[in-house]
Amino acid sequence: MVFLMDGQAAPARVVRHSTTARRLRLEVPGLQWNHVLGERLERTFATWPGIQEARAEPRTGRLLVRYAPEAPLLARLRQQSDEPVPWPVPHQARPVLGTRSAPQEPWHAMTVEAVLARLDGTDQGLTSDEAARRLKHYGPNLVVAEKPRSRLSMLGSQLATVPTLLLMGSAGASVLAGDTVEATAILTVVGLNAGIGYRIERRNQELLASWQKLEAGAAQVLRGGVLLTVPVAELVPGDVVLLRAGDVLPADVRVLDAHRLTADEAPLTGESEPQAKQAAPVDARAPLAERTSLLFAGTAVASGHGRALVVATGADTEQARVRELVAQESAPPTPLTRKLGQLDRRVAVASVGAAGLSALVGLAHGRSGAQVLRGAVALGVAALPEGLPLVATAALVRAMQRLHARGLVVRRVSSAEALGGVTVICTDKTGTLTRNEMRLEVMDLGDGALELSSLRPRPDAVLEDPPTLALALALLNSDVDVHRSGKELAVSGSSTEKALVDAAHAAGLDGAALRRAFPRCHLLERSEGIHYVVSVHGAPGGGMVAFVKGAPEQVLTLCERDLKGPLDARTRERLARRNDALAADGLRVLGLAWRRLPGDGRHAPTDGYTFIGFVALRDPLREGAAESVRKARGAGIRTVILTGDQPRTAEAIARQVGLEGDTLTPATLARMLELPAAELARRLERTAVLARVTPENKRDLVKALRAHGETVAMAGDGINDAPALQAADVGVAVGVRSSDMARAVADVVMASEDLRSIMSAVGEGRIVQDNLRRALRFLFATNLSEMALVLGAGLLGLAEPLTPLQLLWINLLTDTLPGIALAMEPGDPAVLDRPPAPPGMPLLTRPAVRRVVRDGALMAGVGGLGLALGGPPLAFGTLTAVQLGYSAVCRAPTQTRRHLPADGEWRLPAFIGGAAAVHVAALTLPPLRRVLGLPAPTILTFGGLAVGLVLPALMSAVPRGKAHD
Amino acid sequence: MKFDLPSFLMGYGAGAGTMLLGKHLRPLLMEVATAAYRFVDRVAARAAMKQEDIEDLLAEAKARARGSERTRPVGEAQA
Repeated sequence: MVFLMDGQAAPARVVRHSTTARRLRLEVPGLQWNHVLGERLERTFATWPGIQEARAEPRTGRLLVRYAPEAPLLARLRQQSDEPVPWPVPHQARPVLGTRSAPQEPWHAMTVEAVLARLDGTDQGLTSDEAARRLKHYGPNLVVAEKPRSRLSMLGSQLATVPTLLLMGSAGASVLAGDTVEATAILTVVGLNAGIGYRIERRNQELLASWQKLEAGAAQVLRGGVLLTVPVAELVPGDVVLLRAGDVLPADVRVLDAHRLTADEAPLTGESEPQAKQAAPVDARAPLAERTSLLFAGTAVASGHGRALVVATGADTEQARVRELVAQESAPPTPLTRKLGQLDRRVAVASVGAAGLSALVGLAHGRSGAQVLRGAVALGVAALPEGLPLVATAALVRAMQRLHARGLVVRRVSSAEALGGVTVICTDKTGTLTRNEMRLEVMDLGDGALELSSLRPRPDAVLEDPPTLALALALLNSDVDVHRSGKELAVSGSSTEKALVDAAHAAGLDGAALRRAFPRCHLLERSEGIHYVVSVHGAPGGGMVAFVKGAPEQVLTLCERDLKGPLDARTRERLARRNDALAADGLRVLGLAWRRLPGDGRHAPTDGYTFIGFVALRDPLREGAAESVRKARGAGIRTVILTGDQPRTAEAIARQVGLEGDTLTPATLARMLELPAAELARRLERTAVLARVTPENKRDLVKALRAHGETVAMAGDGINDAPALQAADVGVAVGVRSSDMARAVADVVMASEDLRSIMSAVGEGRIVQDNLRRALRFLFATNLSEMALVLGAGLLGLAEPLTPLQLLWINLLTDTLPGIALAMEPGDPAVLDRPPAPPGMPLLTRPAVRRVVRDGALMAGVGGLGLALGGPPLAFGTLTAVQLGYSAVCRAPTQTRRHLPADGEWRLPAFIGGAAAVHVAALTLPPLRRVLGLPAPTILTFGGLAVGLVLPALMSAVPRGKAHD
Repeated sequence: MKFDLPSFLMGYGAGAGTMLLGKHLRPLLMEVATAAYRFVDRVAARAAMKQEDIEDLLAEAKARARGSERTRPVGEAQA
């Protein structure tokens, strides 16, 4: 309904209308917590005829109206159901974008006239009034950006872990038992762990936020025939935008007219070569990459200029559709999160079980309630590895820092470990394996490929010297803009022609001088069915020449001779074979030809040309691409190329980087995904290349691989990679030029574009895994020893050997310091020479658990000996000492450490030394002794300390001669 | 005065905490306080809505009861 207030219409929803009671309850937007509006509404309603009472309730945002029997207007209202109807609550309200979708049509298949008619526009643009109306109708041209994670949820995720909750429970129990110091200490531990985790996540988010690129700000738009600069958010369907080289498209647009217009669509479709755009409609079923009459938001104009009509804005664009795909996909938990979660649950069960057992034993021995509670808290605290979050964080942060030094930012901290378990790397080709810039690779003038670096062009004899002629022709026949930026020449245009011009410049030809010597008279563009460009130039000695560059098979049909003589059938066949060989190698091949023209040369003939030779170009591999694929294979990791390019180009790249296996297309992938699991697994194992893919295909392949037990890392830089980056175990956004969306969903962002960094990241991940296993072994064995000691003493009816505070002291200081040092040990240099750990492998394997139980029992035995000889204080001293000594046993094998640089080697001895000093302080300094409830030290105390420190090393040395991991 | 380590540690912790709070944790505290307010507001709104629902229900029940009492004699007469 609508009611009037101060002459303005305001909407309200009828919550309930009882005609019997003549009561109307309305929900008014904006009324909640707005007392002023409430009073105004009450005043307004009071002036209406027949209104008995109007009462606004700012707490609920509702208004109650009671009216007289014959009151006009209100009596006609129908009663509505009492069911709550969704209604935007102010704090949940988001800008409602694109409230109404623009008409969805196959714009690419419609003629310009049909598109204009459908959108009710003209080629001179909309009027400003009409644009304003449409802006209101369709909403602003914005895509809802991903909201950064709130600080609160970041802190919440640190606190919502099982051990933290149990610790908080223990703190509560301590308060109940009257031990406030214990409770404070436990809560400090919780705060410390949460604070560190929070700080790390926050810093990473800030770092990435500083990398955010600025969105395109304004577009050149024709409105009522006048050229205006309009903020991109205000573009509406029906607007006419002007396109120039370098523009980033602000919306999906339909080409109205184009002059050599090409667009770089790599971010959206993965096509490495800019796509020519024209106004002519294409087949309605054409895939995205072949819709040559459309340009898409987020892509860029590579060359040429033109005009286009906006057909989709905001949430209707193709880019927004990909974003939607990303939103549908939730990032899987990293293996570490999963495994630590599993471990947490087990530890929680053990802790609660131990506390329960301790309580039972206490009750059986007839202890008081407070004593039982204290004993249960002690055992619960003993069972929980309080240092584990700190230790795990230390291992991950060390990896993060080392990765950061190599130009990688880890967004999700636990991804640093996940990298270590990667079994498959899926990588985008364009821009990730290759540079996304064409380069002249081969020039063949009839005698095989020429060595390009040794070419010495002769500008004085362009038409006489074949290599000079080929380079000059390529330069003069190309339509690029060359301008000076500082000391360097900047060339803009299609990537192929740019590469040719760059090659001519690099060989030493002066483009400006050549253009003066060979002034261009006219240029015949490629057109339907004609895949070559003809340019006609004045020649230095008088007369005219025509230069041709284009598809070799067509160029050859124009020629009657080559540089050596007339072209016979055999020569033509030889040239065709050469062309095929180059193309099969993934190169883009062009044929070059020329001829002198008779007369004024106004009409270039279509015969009588001399074939000069072939030039072949390719998007070269990135530095280190082949090496990283080789390294990956050595590390037991398979690489799969996912690309929007043609299968032949992708296969050529796969060959270059040394990948062998099947090439899939979307159709074969779809068929494959329907196969039975075993057959699918077999086929997935053989897959090396997936070509012509859409973002969905990439995501489907990643999900299929994950479903078959692989741990998948996806490396990519485009918008089209985002869904796959999200679906992978580890998403790696490659390069500073990677799209904002790729960076937003990736777990790891690489500033550098060197793929070798990924492999070093995998190495770091494996070091994290190794170190975590060692640290876990240490922490669990020491905790088990405490638990066994406390429980054993309880069962035997002895005095409580360790108080909760003493246990916290051990777990936090004397255990955590060596634990952190173990977690930060330098890695094995041969870490990449072994296969990855199986994805399902737990953090503590069965043999490791057996070792933990054995070592824990032995340490508890030493503590028990201390308890028997000197009572609880000696038990505290010896148990702590033996735990410190045990940390040296958990180190990496010595033969691994021998080859390492000294950095990090000092850490464990220093940390053990530090912890030992802290422990000695606890045993000797009176204030600390008072807090921990320890008596003055005796000789026995120091004796126990010394024995405890050296015993584990001696014991591990005796039976096996060396320490094993 | 005798030096008491726990008191010293607690005092030091409180001081250091305040410094940290001022510098780094203000935005976080702001979010926590906002969430707390939001929660309280939501609870207050929910409670007030339920109160209104009961009020509406009782008002309608009263109107029906009194209305039917008024109309009953007419109905009985018609019957």
